Amino acid sequence: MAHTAITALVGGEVSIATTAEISSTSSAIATYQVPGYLVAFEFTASYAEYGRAVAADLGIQLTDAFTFQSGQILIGSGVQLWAESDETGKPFTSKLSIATWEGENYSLHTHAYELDPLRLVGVLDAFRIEEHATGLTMTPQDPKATLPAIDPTVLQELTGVALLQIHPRTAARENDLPARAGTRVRGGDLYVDRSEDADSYILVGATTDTRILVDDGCHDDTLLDALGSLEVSWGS
Amino acid sequence: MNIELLGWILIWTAVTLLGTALAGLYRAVAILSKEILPDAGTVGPREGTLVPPVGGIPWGTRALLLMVDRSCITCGDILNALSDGRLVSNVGNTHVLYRDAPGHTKVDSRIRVLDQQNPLFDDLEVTVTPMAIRLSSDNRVVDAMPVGSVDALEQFLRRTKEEGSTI
Repeated sequence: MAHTAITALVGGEVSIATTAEISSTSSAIATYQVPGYLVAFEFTASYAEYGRAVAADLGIQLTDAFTFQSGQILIGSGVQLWAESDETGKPFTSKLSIATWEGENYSLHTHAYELDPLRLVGVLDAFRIEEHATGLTMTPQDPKATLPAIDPTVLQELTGVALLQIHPRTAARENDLPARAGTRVRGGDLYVDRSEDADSYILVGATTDTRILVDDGCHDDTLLDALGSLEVSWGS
Repeated sequence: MNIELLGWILIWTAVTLLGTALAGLYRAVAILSKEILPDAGTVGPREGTLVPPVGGIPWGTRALLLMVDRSCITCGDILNALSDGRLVSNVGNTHVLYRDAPGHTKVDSRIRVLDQQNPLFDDLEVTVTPMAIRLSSDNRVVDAMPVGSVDALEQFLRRTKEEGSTI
């Protein structure tokens, strides 16, 4: 059995055990409503260079750097073309800004449309970022004003098998879960979701519900072994 | 009207409606993104904050304070640019303040360098370095901005120079 532990951005630790190979990289996502903005900001923590890689994928050059808390912030912006066009056939464009905080082993990035990237430094300044052995935590400096917008997520890839989207079990998510019992497996109740283009699975454990997006070409026996042995928990 | 024609009409109606909806969505995102309070997401001291002189030495007329950090990766570039005359600045009224120990970058001898200024960083709520602060002649903050590159510092200096005549 392979095991791993990942620090959730909002605090707490996600533990995963399975017979499948667990990829060495993972991501933790949190979404917060920051005072002064109507839109919520999504924050993604992963390995140290991840924020730079995302910026590069988006064609954004990180031009400015700052020292901030125990790491550094890099910011930049670029123009993103939308697939849709206006009446004259000219594609819609948006200014997309990104800021990534880098610590020793992990990074945390966020983005915004039509916003000066310098503003994102202020958005990050609304949090205390701490680096731990298995990831990052971000704690609002003012918990009464900076509020979680949606439930946090942890993403973990099982190499060649599936991507796990892990959520803590919360009252808000209970309504989305099946009321009937699923197939009993080691980690809880397993369900098949046929509502999407491709089938996916949902594993409901005592503390988590995990959507399992199966890789193309994954052998059925490998998948069965991985799902049958999979255990996911979200500890405080 | 045959069934094929009716089908085409329905499809193109749906496509037009979808296009209109997407355009509306795009505009909504753009509007929501711009709906921010004036102070949202800004860092550093607020305009009008009093910055008392350190060590009894006056800051001077319309002084520039550069709040830096020994570990800051862009501070060296910025201090070099200030010293080698590339930027529009009166270096005589420029003060470099290190949070803790001073860095190794040599600066123009006319620039005053102060170290161990952590209390002032806290008072001015400087959480990000490098930070440029322009003072009025009565030692109040006129403008402040994190300057993460030489270009950003140049932009700040030009901005405060243009504003200078009204201060």
